[in-house]
Amino acid sequence: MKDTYRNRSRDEATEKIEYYIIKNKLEPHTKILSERDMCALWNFNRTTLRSALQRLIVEGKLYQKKGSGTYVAKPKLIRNLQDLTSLSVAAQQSGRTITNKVITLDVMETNKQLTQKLCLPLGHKVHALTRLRLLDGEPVTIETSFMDFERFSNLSIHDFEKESLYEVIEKESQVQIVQGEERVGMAYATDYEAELLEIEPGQAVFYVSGVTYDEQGLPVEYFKSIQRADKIRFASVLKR
Amino acid sequence: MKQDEINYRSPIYLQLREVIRNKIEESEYLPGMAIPSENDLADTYGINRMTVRNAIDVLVSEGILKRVQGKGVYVVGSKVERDLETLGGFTQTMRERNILPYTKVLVKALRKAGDKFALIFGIQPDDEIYYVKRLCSADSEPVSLDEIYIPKYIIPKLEGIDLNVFSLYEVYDFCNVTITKAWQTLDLTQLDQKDARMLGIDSSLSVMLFESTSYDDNNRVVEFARTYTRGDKCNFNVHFHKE
Repeated sequence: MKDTYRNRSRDEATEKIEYYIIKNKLEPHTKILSERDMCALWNFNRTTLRSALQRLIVEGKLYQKKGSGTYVAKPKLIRNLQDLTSLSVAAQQSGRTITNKVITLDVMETNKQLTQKLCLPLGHKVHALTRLRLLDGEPVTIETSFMDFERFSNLSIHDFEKESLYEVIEKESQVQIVQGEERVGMAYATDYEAELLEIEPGQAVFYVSGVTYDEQGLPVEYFKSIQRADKIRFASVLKR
Repeated sequence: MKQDEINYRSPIYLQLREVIRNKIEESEYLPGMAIPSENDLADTYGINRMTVRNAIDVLVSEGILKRVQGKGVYVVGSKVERDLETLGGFTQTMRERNILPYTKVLVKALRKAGDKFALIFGIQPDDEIYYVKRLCSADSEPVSLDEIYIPKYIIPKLEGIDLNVFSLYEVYDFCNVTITKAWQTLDLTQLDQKDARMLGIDSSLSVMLFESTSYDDNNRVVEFARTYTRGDKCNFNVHFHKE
């Protein structure tokens, strides 16, 4: 076969470490073997092993503490892109908790973009709810939802630090959110977003935006969110 | 976060960024066109040139604008839209969108599965698997770097097949392998310098990492792939439903 397989030894080392974590069922925050022990065990040189560790750290599977060693990272929360499971339910299903902090709950007028997404005329009043959402106490996403003010007039009396937005919408307005579409991309956190999310400005984050619809196919909510890629991973099933 | 919180109190560079973005959305600035020079923009809006540069820098890193040395700043065509629900190889997906696909095989090698891939494919660590690394381009710009692992027993003849000529999905078809579903995850990560250079980006930038495990109609795992995709070149769309 042609071509050289340049990173073969690094790949081998990476796979060994990954398998070692799976086989020994190492829990998050468990310290793994020292570099020296791993080199001796699998017969790798230090440079190869370090570049394998580096790769696993960048991928968020391991983390290092200065002077203390290398640890197994806590798995990211998996969000399925194809069902309507809310962030809080997805967290619950993996034994974790979401808490919310309301940043703003305003009434504003639609601009051009919102009129297109929500099928409302220009200058129509909408709610704009921005929440910071925390996973086990750590900020993971900033999410803004826009909803028709007339149709969901009672939203402002609710406390969205305690209540779920979808539950409130479905109860108050007898609307069932049944489907939606969203777009996933990448962005770099602005200073403001970084401060809220407790990350470095300019760090790469997921940018997700979309529209949810009721049974009649009317738009209910336009949302956009910035999500921490070191805490959340997305998943989907592809079919023919 | 992006558009709607921008108002007259926002920093000027953010306001200017919105102005440029809106002009692109409204087709006042068309793909392939240069936007006014930094000096012109500074004059028009009565702001500092550094402020203009900051606004442009952000749009360049988002892939909306592109700097061309000695010429100016150009509007980049729209991103490649892909979906996250339909199975299909790179070549086929691009063709459906009238984008000229090109894949270049960088490595094609036979190796031992090892413990990790033995587990993934349900084979023995000593069994052999193919490792294929390739660069995928759309309209002659690099879009993704793929690492693909396939057990040898699935396509014993892969060794003799030129993957620069046939797409992997075509090869699966020849070999009567029918991929019926794949489980895919999406993370952000960074590449080492060599790989980043190959994708035409700086190694300090992040890329989207898709990991997918593909199953055939007999529920065998036939392929495991890692795709490193440039975030400034693609957007991914998905529909969701109540279960």
